[in-house]
Amino acid sequence: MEKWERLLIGGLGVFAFLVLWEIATPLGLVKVADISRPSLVVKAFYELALSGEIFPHLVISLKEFIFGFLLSLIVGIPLGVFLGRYRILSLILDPLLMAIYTMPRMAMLPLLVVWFGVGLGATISVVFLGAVFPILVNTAVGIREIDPILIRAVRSFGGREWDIFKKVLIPGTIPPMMAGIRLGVGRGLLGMVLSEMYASTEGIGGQIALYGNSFRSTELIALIAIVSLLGFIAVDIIRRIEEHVSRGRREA
Amino acid sequence: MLDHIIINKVTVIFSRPSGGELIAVEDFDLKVQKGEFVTIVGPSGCGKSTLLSVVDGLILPISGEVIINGKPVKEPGHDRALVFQEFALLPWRTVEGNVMLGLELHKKHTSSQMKEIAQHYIQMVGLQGFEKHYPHQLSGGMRQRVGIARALAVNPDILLMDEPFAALDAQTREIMSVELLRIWEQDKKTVLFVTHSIDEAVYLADRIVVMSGRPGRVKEIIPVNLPRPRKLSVKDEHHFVQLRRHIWNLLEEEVKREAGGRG
Repeated sequence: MEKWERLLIGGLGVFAFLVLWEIATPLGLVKVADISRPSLVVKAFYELALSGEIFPHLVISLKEFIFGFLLSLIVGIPLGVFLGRYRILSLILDPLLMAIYTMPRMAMLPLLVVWFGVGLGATISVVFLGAVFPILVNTAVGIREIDPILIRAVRSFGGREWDIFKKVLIPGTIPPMMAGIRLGVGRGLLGMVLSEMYASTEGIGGQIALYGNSFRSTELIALIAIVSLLGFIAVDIIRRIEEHVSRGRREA
Repeated sequence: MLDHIIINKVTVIFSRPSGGELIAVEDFDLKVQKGEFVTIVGPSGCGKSTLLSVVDGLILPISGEVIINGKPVKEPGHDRALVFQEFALLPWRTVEGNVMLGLELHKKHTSSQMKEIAQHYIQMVGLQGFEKHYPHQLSGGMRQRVGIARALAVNPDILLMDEPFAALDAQTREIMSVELLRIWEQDKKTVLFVTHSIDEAVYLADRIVVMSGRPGRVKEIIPVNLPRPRKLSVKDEHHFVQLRRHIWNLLEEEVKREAGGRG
């Protein structure tokens, strides 16, 4: 099947869904709840954007996300590299890390608010906790799966520990690390929205909570669309970086 | 004449993960002269590869020592380069990038010098035109050519080869050993070549070291009096056939002894 044919059929599916959604309420197909209509959602989307009402919230959300995410890269990548390389370190830290990892993050939110304050602090820490684990775990697994013969090769040419990191371990773990970063984006965004919903009145999540409390489906759907768009853009950026760094390389 | 490599009563013992100890190599003695091509054959698991790692300095012996140019080996050095059975190429680097690895680690050259040197050895092993290819795009024989170029590029005095052709098919293997001799004839480095192929051992060597089964010791050292440069047809000569049969008998004894010891 040609690419345009697949796009056309997929597009038709989306179009049919939008039409059905649009006419469901006027035709009386749905009576129990306000499911809004695509035309109203698009209008609300524009109004939120045009009035400028959403921008301060968007800025706050992005700031929280970027800080939290950068922090998770700064901590997750080196820690993952060391955990992968030094068995003793992973023996010491694995139980602790797994305990934090399996803890439901949202249940920790009140505690994080106590520690880091409402709003910015709490949300950054939730984004960080969400994103850091997939980055760390994937990086460590990537390091462990590198063929030890490559390390021997570097050592046989007189390479030191630092050379092993630079020539083998770090370049070798890039593909799994990038996959971890991609997962981390999703987890981080989810954390951002949830934290803002419960521990803030600001940010996109805060706005979702606000409109949710007054049962305004149309604006809620528009806001959810904005979050989806953010996720889509972030994942797309990561994918492009991934493609760039992995050009030509493939496991033998 | 000064001995280039002296392996003096080297013993290597590994501790088993399940507890207990494994004597890999025991009281191994060998002297190798400069420019000599020495092959080492032995039953599988006799510690031939371990011995090579000791000479390279990757493994330190429990007792005994390796002396190169009068100095004891404590760690890998710039005077030695190892060629691996599994090629050990970095999959994310091109042929050129892989050949430059050792040069980068030696930190003696600028990057344009390294490229020039890499180019020279890529040509020597017959891989010109493949500089920008990645290992996964090459056949097994071509990958090992990269491995050999990488080792030669650092211009070592001693080339250590750990069953370099074992992963190749029979035909490629023969071609590669002819190629290796062609390259070796150019500057006659000292070579220690581990193999489990008797044919290969005789064809390449000035002297053959036959090792006993575990723990690995020297069973017999056999000089090869075949003229160089050698063609593949040398394998039909009487002396070659005799040597092959003799080594085969030695190894058969070892395999039987091991089987008997177990049963």
